[in-house]
Amino acid sequence: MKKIIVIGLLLSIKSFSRDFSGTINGAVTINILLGTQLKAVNLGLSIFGTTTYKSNTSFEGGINFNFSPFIQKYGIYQGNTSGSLELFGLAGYGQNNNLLGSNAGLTKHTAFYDYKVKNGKFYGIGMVVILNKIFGDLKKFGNKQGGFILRFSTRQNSVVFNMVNDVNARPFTKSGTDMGSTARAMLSYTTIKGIELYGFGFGLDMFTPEADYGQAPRGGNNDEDGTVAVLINTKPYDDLFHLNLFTSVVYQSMNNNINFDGRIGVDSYKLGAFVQNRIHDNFGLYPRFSWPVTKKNRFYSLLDLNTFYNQDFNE
Amino acid sequence: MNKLLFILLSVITVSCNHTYFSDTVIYDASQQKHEKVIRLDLSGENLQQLPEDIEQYINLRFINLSNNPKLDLTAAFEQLKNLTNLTVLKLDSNGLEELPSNINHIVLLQNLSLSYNPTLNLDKALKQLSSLTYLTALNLSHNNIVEIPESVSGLVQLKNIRLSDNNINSSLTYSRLAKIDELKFLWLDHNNIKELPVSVGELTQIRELYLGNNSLKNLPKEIENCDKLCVLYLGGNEFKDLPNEILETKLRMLVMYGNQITTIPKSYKKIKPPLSILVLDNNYLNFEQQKIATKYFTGFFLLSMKNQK
Repeated sequence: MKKIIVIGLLLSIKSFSRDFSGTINGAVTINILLGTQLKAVNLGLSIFGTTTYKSNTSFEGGINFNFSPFIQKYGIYQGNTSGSLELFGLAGYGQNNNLLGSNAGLTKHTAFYDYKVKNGKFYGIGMVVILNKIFGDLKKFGNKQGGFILRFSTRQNSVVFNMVNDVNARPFTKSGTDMGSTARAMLSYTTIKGIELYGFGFGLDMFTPEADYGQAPRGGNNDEDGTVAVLINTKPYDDLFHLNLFTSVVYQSMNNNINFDGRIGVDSYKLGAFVQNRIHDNFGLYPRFSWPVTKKNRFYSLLDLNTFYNQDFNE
Repeated sequence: MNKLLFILLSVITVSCNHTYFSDTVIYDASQQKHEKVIRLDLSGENLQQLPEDIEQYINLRFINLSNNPKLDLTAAFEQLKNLTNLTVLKLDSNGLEELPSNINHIVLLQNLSLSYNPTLNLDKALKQLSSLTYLTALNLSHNNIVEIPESVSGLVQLKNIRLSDNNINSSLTYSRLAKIDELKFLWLDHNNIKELPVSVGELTQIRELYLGNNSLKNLPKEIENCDKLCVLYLGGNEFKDLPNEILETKLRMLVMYGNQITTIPKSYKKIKPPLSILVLDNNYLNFEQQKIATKYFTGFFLLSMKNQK
């Protein structure tokens, strides 16, 4: 009986798989990252694939490994290394095969687009998970993030909305919450012009220190009128906060494989406190974090110059 | 994901709120741009009267008059009544025995701090404050209070009362606070409370209850009646077990750092939502018990068990 079921299952899969078509691509990437809060080199491996079922239902997914020696991270000068693993996948409507969704994740800015492909329409929704690991004194800020992606694209244009938040749920148990890079969001537009790719977008990136829940919360920073509880944070880096609000410009060319992602914006304690206080005060995540709200905004920038090596292994 | 949606909405609206997190300015007689000052600090100036130019601070929202024991408050309030944006007043450490009757002239006052005034006639003061119809936050910490008078129930709009660092052990206090329908935040930390009275169950309106750094060993069953209680701080007490009394409540956050907890009761195995934040730092949980906690509380938003002794 078991044999019959297995044979039946295999036949079904075989027949089912005839309706699928797909493509896969990937690259080894090298990034130089220079910014007000980050100075690092990033070595990455990315694999991205798409598949279409019966010409109008598509799936896409990718995996990004990153290994990053840094001399500054989160604004702290300290030589060490960090790494991340990102997985994302989307499902949706359309014939999706121009690979434009390869940059729908958050840890990679390079797209492995195929400008020769005629049809790339895709309206999809998906999930992203990121595991962040940091070594050295900043180790405690390694965390796990999860979120969702929305992507709407035509053959040459793609709009992506991407949100992640730190999580502590299966399969991310034992992850810190409200600690390190806690929330990120990005809205970006990408267009292909010949063999060149252009993009711009807006993003937000929040970083908070690790709260010390073993101490009674007290007033101080971010307790404007002396009525709320404010968390004390663990040392070192108990006062490390960022809320980066930025705009991003992306350029890529298939000519020389040199890619550019430039970001400028503002790092605002006031905005960070405003945003997080609303969440903590309204969603029962009391107490607040001790954002140094009287400090002035700072300039935020990040320049990502990267190149990639690609064998076009599925073409 | 609600958090992130909220972030986006907040980013859009933050620019509209220009007074948010204004700097507190220390009084300077040569100040030229009075209208730009939102928060003014006049504490510890040994004042007898407020400066004459105080009425020029037309956008003042916050004023700190603490540690000025010789200040003529009656005259001061007459000047302050013309500041129509003033909502926060700090009068800490002023050796107050009574509040001037004209405090109700500061009609829009929302937040009043009277801490470190142990000689204050509390009953009379609370009766006077009942005429301030916008008063939502009151700080009475460090005042040697043993019992909150009946007159507290007249503060009908009060949402937040801080009674930290007193000696409140009277069950009547809870019954009286229960009569304030709007009360959401109650601070009773550092009060040397050894046993919580059953009248705590009358606080059916309370959302957040701060009972840290007392001498509590258990909770009364009546705490189950606190239907709206979301946040319960019990850090720095003397609990040896997690309290079973909270299992039937709608708590989201239970903080029990710095107690003497050695075991996770089996009754917590099937703990039901909405409890999703549990802080157990600085207790006596061995490795085995920490494993049990991790198993029981899988999926919690936050489970913290650092520094077990």
